[in-house]
Amino acid sequence: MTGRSESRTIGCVECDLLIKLPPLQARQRCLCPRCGHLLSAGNVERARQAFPFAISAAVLLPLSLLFPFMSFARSGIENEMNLFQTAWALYLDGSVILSVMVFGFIIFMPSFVVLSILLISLSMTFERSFPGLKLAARFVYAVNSWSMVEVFIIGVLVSLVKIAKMATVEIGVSLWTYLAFSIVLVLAITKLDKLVVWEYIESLRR
Amino acid sequence: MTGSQNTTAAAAGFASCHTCYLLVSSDEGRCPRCHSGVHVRMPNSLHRTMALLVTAIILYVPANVLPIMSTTVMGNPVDNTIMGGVITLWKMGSYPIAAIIFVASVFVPLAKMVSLTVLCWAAKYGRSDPKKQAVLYRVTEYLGKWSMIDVFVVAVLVALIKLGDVLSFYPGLAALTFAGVVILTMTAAANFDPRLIWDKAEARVDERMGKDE
Repeated sequence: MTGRSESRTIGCVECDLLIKLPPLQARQRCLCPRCGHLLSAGNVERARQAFPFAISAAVLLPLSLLFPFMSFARSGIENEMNLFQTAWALYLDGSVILSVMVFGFIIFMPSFVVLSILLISLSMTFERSFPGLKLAARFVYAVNSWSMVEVFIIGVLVSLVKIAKMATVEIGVSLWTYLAFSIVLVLAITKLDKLVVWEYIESLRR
Repeated sequence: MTGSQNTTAAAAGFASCHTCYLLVSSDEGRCPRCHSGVHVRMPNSLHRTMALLVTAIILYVPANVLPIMSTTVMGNPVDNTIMGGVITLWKMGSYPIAAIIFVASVFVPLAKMVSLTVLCWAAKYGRSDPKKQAVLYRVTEYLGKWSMIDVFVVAVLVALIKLGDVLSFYPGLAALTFAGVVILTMTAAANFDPRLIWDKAEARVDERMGKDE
């Protein structure tokens, strides 16, 4: 293993400039001097702050699947749906591929992200390694761009406006928990800087 | 390492790991820290980006022509296209929502396709200001998933509004092709290696300096 000082020299992933990174404080960020790309933000101390958000996310996502999401009533007929049905209804209407995509973007990928950040946060809090830690760190940032919780929330708001005049629309518990989930998930991920996480994982083995 | 001001990792014989940012000697194929594959530059980056981009452009046509959703009101089916939905919302007086849908579903996908073309052009033939291209790349990557809004609107409405013949919404083929456009442009952006722009800009500077001498 190489020494600590050498591992702080990195190549900017956007312009390939060699940069010697200084040690950062929790609130400091380091941008590439040539292209402006955000190289690293904060330190392990800041990354540890992700723990409460990771726990909240892990509680809020299952809750969002349990309760009604929205209900719609007109002419004496009512229809209630839950989060899972947004994907399932597409399947029932014959759009199988679209149904799988939606399920992936709003439930499957986010679950994967939550499990990964939970594992990383647990490891950081108790300062010990867990099986699958490297796998979690490897895929969490890649999978994250396919987790579309916040985009879905905007989609729900747009839908609400579209149909508000057609009939009575009621908002269920799950919509609120999913909204909260979208917020804590973003907070947790921004706390976990990629470089900080990997340097932490490397320090565990020494 | 000698501290010349603009030394790139590649010029110094290193490749930086895309997964964990470790600097690895460029003849090593695998990162010792996270075990993912390491390349000095993404292999065939421009070819892959262009191939995905062209596919996205082709799919963009049915996404706009075919109905994204069909509505049954009192037994009468009506088809809605993306642009039709924007116009309906505008006429209803929901201007902000109409604007959101227009930006997310029409403007952003088009802008992404144009900007990826510009980026590929810049990486291949070089442009004067790589810093501008770097910003363009970052914006393109960030906007990626936000075009999916309309697909989620369809998913929510189709699940929620199922009152038999009174009022029911069904998904249209354009929802699938449009989701395809978004996924393809996201993958195209992910396959684009922004370092190629800087390589090209550097090569052009060297060329000019060579001529001056």
